[in-house]
Amino acid sequence: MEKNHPLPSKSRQEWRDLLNGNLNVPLKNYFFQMKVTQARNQIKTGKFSLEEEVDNIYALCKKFIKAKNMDTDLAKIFGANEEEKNSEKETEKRPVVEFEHDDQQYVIEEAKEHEEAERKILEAERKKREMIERIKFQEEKAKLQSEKNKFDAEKIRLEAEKAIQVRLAVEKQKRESKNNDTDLQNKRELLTKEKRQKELQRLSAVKKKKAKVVKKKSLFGSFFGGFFRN
Amino acid sequence: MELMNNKLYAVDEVINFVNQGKLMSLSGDEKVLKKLPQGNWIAGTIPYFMDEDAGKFDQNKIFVNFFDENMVDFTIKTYDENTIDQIVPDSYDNGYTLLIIPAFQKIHHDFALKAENLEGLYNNPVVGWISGIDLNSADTPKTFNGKLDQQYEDKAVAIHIKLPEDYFAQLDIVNIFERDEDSPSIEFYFDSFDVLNCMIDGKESNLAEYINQNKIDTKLPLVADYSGASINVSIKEVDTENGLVSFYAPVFESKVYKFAKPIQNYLKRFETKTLDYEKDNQFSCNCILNYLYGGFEGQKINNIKGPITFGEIAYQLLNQTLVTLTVDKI
Repeated sequence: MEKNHPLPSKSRQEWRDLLNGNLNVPLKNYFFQMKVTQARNQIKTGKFSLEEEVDNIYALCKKFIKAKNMDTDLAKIFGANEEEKNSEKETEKRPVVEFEHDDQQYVIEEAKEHEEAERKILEAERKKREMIERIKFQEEKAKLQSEKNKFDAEKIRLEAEKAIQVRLAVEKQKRESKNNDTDLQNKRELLTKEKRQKELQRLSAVKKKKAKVVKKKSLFGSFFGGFFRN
Repeated sequence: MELMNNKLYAVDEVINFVNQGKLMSLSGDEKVLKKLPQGNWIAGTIPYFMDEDAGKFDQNKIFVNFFDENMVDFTIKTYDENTIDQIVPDSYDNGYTLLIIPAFQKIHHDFALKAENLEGLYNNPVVGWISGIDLNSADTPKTFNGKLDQQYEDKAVAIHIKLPEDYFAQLDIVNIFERDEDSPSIEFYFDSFDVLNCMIDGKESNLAEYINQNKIDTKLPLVADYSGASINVSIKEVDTENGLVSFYAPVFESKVYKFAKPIQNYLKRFETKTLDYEKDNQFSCNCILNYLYGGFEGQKINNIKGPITFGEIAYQLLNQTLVTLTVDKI
């Protein structure tokens, strides 16, 4: 994607895939990295809907489109599908073989004179040979064109196959990401509200206990106790 | 944008700048900041810097970050823990906010825990730092609002800058750490600066015990992946007696953490990562832990300049990270 490339349309599915976690690409621009992370979190917690966050991130990307690495990040997100689209276009543009037909007729006039007639016969034969050669040339040309078409068709097929493979890889990544999310979700279910509450109470008790000791030390000693020289 | 030279200046020079009405963000020891007259400036206490020639400890000079004179407008504000949410609505449509928060205070913790969920946080860059002290003193970190001629132990100060329509500000970070993919995955029960138990590879465990038993180097932060950005949380203390681990920034329930990959040569790694570092950025700051662990004192590292801080702000609180803000023409 070139620099100053217009922002891909808000209707593109990739925006939604990016924000609901189905599309995981490591981004480079710091704003984009942080905003995507925040948006995913807000959607997960129900603070904002997916469409609200798409509106939000789209407006911000428009504002910061010239920021460092935004172009490469957008290319990463929208690139694979662009390739697919291009290959579809190429399929549509499949060349058509055109054959040329020359139905020229030859009329040989009867020569009044024998020499004249012979000359004409020779001329006619020359023309006939030329026509045969021309037909042969046309046939050869058609054959080559046909081979070229076959080659082009094969090229298009390979490109389409490559695009399908890219798509499959993206879908595989999505599935893996979903599985990871499910694993994470399963783990999180273990962390019941009750457990959190219990942990908070324990933490509060330990902090109270430590506060008594900390009071005796300097503020700094407490903060950097681990590593600074006294 | 054309910038004046951001560097350490003698107090008299800074007083001249104030009297000329220059808009500045300052960092220095409390004793020198107190000498400044009322004016268009905010400040935070810290005596550690990366200056033009090298990293240094200096209690007599003040590091000055000038703001570009082409900006359209500015406001200077003070925030407490009840009003810190206002930093987003107080900012301009196009611009950025520079925020200084005193370390150890409630506002430090509150901002760190709340920032990620502030509505509209990403509308404009929010850059800044946590003020600190001389590590061998019993001083208290402070912030200053030069406009009001006030100093605070428990309040944050900010400058909101409005940029012309054809300019935009952007933030970037330099983090020398990356997640060690061999490390276990660590998840927490709630957002907190302190942790007892957590889930290590899906199994409930005490983090302090784990760190102790596995002899984890506590100079290495925990690292979370934010869509490609490695975000550190540095370990402050491991209290095995009470089974408590304390951090310099909060860990979040929604994130999965891993320990950072060990680094062979801290300083060299920093040098390599900052080779293309832009000299004329609007603002930058770097972490005191990088300064200490990397042995930055007396070292010049590419074009890095700015205060050495007790925490860095790039939208949210970061640890062991270099933060930069640049302003560019569209």
